[in-house]
Amino acid sequence: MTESGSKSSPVLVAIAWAVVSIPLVWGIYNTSLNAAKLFTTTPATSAPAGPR
Amino acid sequence: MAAFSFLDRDRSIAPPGFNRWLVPPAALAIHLSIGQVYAFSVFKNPLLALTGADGSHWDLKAIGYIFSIAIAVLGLSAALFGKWLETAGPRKAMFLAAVCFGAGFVIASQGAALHQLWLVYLGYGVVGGVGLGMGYISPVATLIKWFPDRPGLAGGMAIMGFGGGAMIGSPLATKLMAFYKAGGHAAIPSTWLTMGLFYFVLMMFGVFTVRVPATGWKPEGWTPPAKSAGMISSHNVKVQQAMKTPQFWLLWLVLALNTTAGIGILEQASPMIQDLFHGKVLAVAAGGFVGVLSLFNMAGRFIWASLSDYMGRKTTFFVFFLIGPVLYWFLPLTGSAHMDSVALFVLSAGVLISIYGGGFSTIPAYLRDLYGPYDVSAIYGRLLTAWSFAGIVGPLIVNGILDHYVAQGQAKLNAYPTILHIMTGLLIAGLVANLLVRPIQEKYWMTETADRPVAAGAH
Repeated sequence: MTESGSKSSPVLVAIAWAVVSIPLVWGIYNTSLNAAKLFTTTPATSAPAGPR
Repeated sequence: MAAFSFLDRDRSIAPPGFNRWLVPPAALAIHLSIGQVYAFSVFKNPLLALTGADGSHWDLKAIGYIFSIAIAVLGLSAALFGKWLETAGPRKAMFLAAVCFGAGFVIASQGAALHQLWLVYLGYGVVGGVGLGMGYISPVATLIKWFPDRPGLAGGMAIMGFGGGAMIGSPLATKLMAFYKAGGHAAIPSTWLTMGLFYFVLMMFGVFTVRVPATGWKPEGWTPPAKSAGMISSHNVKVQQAMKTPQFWLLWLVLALNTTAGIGILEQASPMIQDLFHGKVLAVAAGGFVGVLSLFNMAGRFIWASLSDYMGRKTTFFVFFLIGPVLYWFLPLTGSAHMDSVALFVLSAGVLISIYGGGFSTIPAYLRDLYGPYDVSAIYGRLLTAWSFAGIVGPLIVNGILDHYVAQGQAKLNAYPTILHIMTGLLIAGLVANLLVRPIQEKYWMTETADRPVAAGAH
């Protein structure tokens, strides 16, 4: 991080975003895998649905 | 102390040429860390399985208090320290948040190792909770000052991180516990120590990266409005004055009601979908539904807050309170007894949860519009007590009604329409509260000869 009057380096900005994006993308990926179970898991028995 | 002088507000003022896009990663580093709290449920079963030296076990109710204490302390510390955070500056606030949140894990790990629940309450609940409160407000308020042209986007970026934090915290904890268990170590104490260290390092990245704008700074090419326009004020209001305005309490209601309604779904997401689609959606798929809601929650925080920059804050909440009641009313009709459409249920619940998240992320910009950026941390901190309120009332409504139906010998399924229709009513009350919000009267405005310079970007 520059403390002088020079402009912030775009590389520094990219690195800063990478530091937070990598764990976030990893988390979203894991959550998406979990979310996919809603669409890929089928009931073992096709019990008739009805009011309980 | 001289060693810590780098934390002073004056030392964190951005030099000319500083790129403001370095600040969102700093804010995200904090929120992605403290958002872990929403993944605490991953520890419930492992904590239940812990055995003390005397063979004793903790019960579910006692373990449940750990999360409740953390959230209650979050609200309290945000309200108590909000004013101090504004004067101390974000770097000091974030540093203390990192120390408290990291130390909370370390203390709690000792509690788990020694099977002393009070140490877990003290560590994760109280010390960690102070870290949550300190870490929650400061990044949001700082970003809003860096993005006076897009305060909604700014709030959305930070608060999206809080939603994303749970997505990181849950798999991280699961993988660490499996790793330590396979290595023959005590899973929870080792996991908490590792997580404490990991989050401390990530939060310290935020501490070293964050900057505050210099007095008079404004984004290139942006001209602040010359005078107040509609709901956006060009004046500042001090926190003591803000508390006297009806607008503060109306927004408190808006946040409390929107959050209470959202908790109505979040609290019962997994059992609700299984009950409404009995035999069609099983436990594993219901777990997937919770994952879908997490994605909607995070996306809603960013999208709705960003849209509010174009639609206006009042209109955004108007849309929430218009769509929300309709969907809550509609939700029970998607079940097996009526339309039998899992897709419609998931989509409706997803939109409702995006509104829940959107409420959190849009409210800081609403406060900034009405009260100016000067005391926004302090005002925001006090408004967050609405979250604590909703965190207690929401589950009380949902669990109370479910218990009542079960006690009456009725099926749980019959309780859901009642619960969801109550949520409809709450959101209609929110609609009225939001419609009553008007610009702040001139008598509450602060004079510009304050004891502290008005934050850059304000004028």
